[in-house]
Amino acid sequence: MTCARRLVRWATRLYPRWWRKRYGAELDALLDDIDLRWRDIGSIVRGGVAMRLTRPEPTYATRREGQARRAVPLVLVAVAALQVGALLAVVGVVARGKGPLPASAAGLPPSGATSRGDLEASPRRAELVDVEMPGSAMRVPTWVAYPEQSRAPVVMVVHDLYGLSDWVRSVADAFAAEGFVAVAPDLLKGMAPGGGDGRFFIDGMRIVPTVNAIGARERTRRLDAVRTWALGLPVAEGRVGVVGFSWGGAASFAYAVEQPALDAVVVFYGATPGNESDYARIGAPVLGLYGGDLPTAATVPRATEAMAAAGRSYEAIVYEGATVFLKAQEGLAANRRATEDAWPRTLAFLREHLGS
Amino acid sequence: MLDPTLLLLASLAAGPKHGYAMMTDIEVFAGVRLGAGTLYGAITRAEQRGLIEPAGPAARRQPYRLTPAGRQHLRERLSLLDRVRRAAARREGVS
Repeated sequence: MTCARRLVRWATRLYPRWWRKRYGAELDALLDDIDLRWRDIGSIVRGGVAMRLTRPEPTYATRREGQARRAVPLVLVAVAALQVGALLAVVGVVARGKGPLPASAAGLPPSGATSRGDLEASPRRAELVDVEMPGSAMRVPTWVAYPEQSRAPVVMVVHDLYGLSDWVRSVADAFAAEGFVAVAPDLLKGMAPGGGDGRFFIDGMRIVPTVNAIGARERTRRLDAVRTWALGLPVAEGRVGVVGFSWGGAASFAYAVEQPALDAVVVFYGATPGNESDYARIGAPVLGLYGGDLPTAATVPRATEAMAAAGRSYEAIVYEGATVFLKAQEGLAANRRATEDAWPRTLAFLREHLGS
Repeated sequence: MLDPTLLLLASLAAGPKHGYAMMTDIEVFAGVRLGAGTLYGAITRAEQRGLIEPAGPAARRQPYRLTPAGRQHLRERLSLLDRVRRAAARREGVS
């Protein structure tokens, strides 16, 4: 358990007993799922103090037995608030550019907020195909967006935690508009309750552990099946690039390790491989584009070092203050700036290594 | 920054979600990463005011949904925001 996790567990004791009984387990679950930031610890200290000052204490019908914890005397609460406040001041909370920006500027791919409209307005042909897996009854549902050209290189678009969403389809469409055959496999097929696919995950369910439950080997098998199938398309002209976002970005970097015949890989803010010996197995040049405010940016130095040691091509850019920038372009000015730089860079990188 | 309660209600307007799903959803549509304590503070107050309720049986990853009162409250807040936005835009000469 890291220092931050220990600190945050301790801070949750600041909440009064009635609150912990009703919400304590839920807050613990949330803290298990998120990438902790200092802001979370600060907000929990403030929240704990605020709930202690709530009068009268609300009553709830018992929904579950809360995890019993030793209560912290009220006097400690104020001391703790001061200490953590001072700590946060020392650490420094980076002020980030704010103010909504207009959506989907010309030449940029759609964001999560504009994707549905972009998809509906697309003049290009696209379809959902069930791709067969060799030696298995499983099919991988794959969205294919076709370019106007009769021959084009393939770009595989690997989705984030939310599966084959409208946003991922519209990003595939943006690649098709740039002259690539874009294929976006649904790697969550069969993982949702009742054997459903990723579209059933969006609301109210636990996403992260389920997505990770696919396992690296099964993920590679599905990606390989889609790669082989895409290369057999009449329109495909022989080269394959992979572009992945967030969870799919990490999956794409990992796929570069497993499939050395790839021609180019672009990682959007996904973690780099953790195993140092993996890097020597990579065949494709890799372009990594990271949001400086995401924890995955911290995994860039190890990849830079390992790729250089293995003599592999790796260009990494960390955009300061940005998060999941391409999907969340409207929220932060840093996200829009990162997208404006990253998108043309991605296209140039793919054209250099795939043609088009 | 926008009122966390409004962000919470806007997120749940699209369907029930648990805390992690709300946090990621709010980050995507508003570009705001709420602190875990801020989010649970907003959940506590909204539930006390009858604006949201747990969806389904108790679970560690508890989904919540809007109540009819929550939906009504969201509409009123949006209409107020819209009036403020229009007035401010007029005064700034941008609309």
